[in-house]
This record gives sequence, C-alpha cells and structure tokens, in this order.
Amino acid sequence: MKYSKVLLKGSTSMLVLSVLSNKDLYGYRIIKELEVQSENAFNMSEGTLYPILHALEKEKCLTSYWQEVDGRDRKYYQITGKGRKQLAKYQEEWKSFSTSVNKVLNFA
Amino acid sequence: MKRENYINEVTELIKNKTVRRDVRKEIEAHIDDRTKYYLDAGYSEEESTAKALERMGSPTEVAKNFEKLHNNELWITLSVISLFGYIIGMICGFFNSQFAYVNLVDFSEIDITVSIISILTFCAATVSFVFAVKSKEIDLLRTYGIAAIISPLLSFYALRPAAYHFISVFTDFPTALKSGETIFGDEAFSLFFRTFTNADGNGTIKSFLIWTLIILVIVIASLHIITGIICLIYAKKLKNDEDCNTYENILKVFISVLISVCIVTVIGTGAEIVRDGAIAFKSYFEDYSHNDEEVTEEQEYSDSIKNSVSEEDI
Repeated sequence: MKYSKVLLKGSTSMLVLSVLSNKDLYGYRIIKELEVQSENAFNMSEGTLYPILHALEKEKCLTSYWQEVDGRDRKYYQITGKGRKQLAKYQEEWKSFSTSVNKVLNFA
Repeated sequence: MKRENYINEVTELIKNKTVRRDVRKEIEAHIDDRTKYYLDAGYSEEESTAKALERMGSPTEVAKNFEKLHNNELWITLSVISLFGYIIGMICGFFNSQFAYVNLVDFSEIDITVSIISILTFCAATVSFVFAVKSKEIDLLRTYGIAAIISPLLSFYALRPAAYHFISVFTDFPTALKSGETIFGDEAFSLFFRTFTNADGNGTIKSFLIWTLIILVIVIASLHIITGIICLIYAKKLKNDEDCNTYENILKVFISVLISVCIVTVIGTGAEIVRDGAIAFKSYFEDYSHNDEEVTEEQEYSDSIKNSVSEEDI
C-alpha cells in the first residue's frame, strides 16, 4: 500500500529516528531499512530525506561522522540522548493520535 | 537530467563551501548506490541513472529545504556580533547609570554619555533583532529576548531617583500641608521640584537635558521590551509551531521581568550599601585622625600652661 504525501510529511522525522535507534546508518541505508521494515510501503522522494537528516542533526537529535565503506566515504548518522527522548515523545503522541483517529473512523 | 546537473541544482543554493562539498558527497553516494541497485536488477546504465534520479525527487524542492537549513549562518554570525555589542553597551549603560544617579541628585553636570551609549546600544539591538528574526534560530531569539527585557531595567535603574522624587511628591505633599510646612520645606519634594524646573536658577538647558534623557530612556526601554517579547514569542512559536499558547508566554515574560527587577534592585541596593559603607568607613577614619589632632592641641595647651606656670614662678 502506498501512502499519500500528506500522511508521510509529518512522520518522516519520527521514522528516521526510529530506524536509527537500533544502529548507525548512512542515508541510502536508512531508506533501505525503511523499505524493508515497512514492506515497501514508504515511497518517499529520497532527496528530501537529507534536509530532514540535517535538520535533526542541527536540533542535536542526531550526530554524524564520516566512515569509509566499500572504498567510498559515507556519512553515518547516530542518534543522541535528545533524539531518543524526542522519539519516545513522538511514539507516545502517535499512539494516542492513532487511537483517537481509529475511534472516529470506526464510528463512521 | 544528468547526474551532475541534478547534484549541482540541489547544492547550488548552499552558500557555505564546506557544507556544499559535504552535501555533494552525500547525495552523489546516494545516487550511485541507487544506480548500482538498478544495474544489479538488470537495467542498462542509462536507465539505472534515470531511475535513480527519478526516485530522488524534485531537485528544486530539496535545494529549497537545504537553503532554509544552511543559509542562515551569515545572519547568525552578524546577530551574534551585534548581540555582543548590545550586551557590552548594556553593561556600560548600567555603570553609567550610577553617574547619572549622582548627577541627578547633585545637580552637577548632566552625564549625556548615558544617552549616547543608550542610542548606540539601541542601534546594536535593532541590528541583532533583525538578524535574529531572519536567522530563525531559537537560541539566538531567546538570548536577544532576555537581553532586551533586562537591559531597559538597567536603564530604569538610572531613572530610580527621578521615580523616587516623583512618588515622594504624592506621599509627602499632604504631610507637608498638614504640618504647615512650606512645600519646599520637604527635602525630597524640593529636590524633585528643582530637578524638573529652573527653580535653582541653573537655566532651561539643564532641565531640557534631563527631560530629553528621561524621555529617550523611556522610549528606548519600551522598544527594547516590545522587541524582546516579540523575539521570545517567535522563538516559542518556532519551537512548537502547532500549540503556541500566547497567554502562557506573556505570563512567562512577566515572571521573567519580575525576577529581573528583583535582581537589578538587589544589585543596585548592594552597590549603594557598599558605597555608603565606604563613605562611612572613610569618614570614621577622618574623625579618628581629627581626634588625634585634638589630642595634640590639648597637649600643646597643657604645655603652654606649664610654660606660663613656670614663667609665673620666675
């Protein structure tokens, strides 16, 4: 199932933090991971991931370091303590939000 | 669209060279990874690149997002510099207000450096306000907001003697009437009266200067407080775009103003106590040395008596 842009827009930071909470990854691998975990449901424009990553880095939710993999420099992103807190907050919000939405949708 | 063109378009709006180079490297690696993915899936080289670029999405949109993120660094630098000037001006203004205090009470020369510093500080503040808003940096906006709210309080400290005299008119006037004393009999009132009129015969120029100084300080102070509140609310709005509670913000601003007033008053009173203490200490020592002189005078006196006695003996 493919989701509309409106639904994806707000949740991308949350998904990125969630993927990075397990291990450090670089941009392409984050997209790959999202594909695998969501079973190809997320079909975002891949370029837009980078401004999101940089914004999260600026907010100190992520840090980054360069590392050479397969003869090429990759920019790895790592989640910080602040990022984990942010993720927990997102998760809580998401749970209560989806419960409320479900209630309304089921009622209709 | 070719790979190079895509990368150029995405990065061309980023002004900082180091950031641009890093973003380039990152995007290049991503496109190459995606191209390899399609090559492995059996597509031709040309098709693979085209598909990879297609998946990247619109370069204009990505470029715009990058611009928003990375191009405020110039504004940040400028704002930090002017903010630094602003805080230095504030500190100078605070120490100058001590002289202003002395001058208002003593009717000696009016120190106009305090208003000059206020104007310069205000210029620095305006510049840093504009740049802080342009940069959309939450921390910067907050720093400016707090500085802008505290600084006029320092200026108000300079106005404290005037405020005191003003209040004393209303508190001391009825007492003065009841006790039958003349209006000018009360020191505080006459001080106030003489400060703001030409009653002490010092001419119109001085009272004009005092009024200019006071009006200037009040105007500047109000502008500072208003811009400070704008910055704090803007910072809050940026941080939490969807649930911005204006009333809560105003309450917070008032509480911070209250705390700042307390701090400034404590510092000011402390400074006065130290000054008064120093004066008392100094006068004590002067008295002590005066006593010494008296003792020697007494000795001289007794010596002279002795002398006169011995003269009488003769």
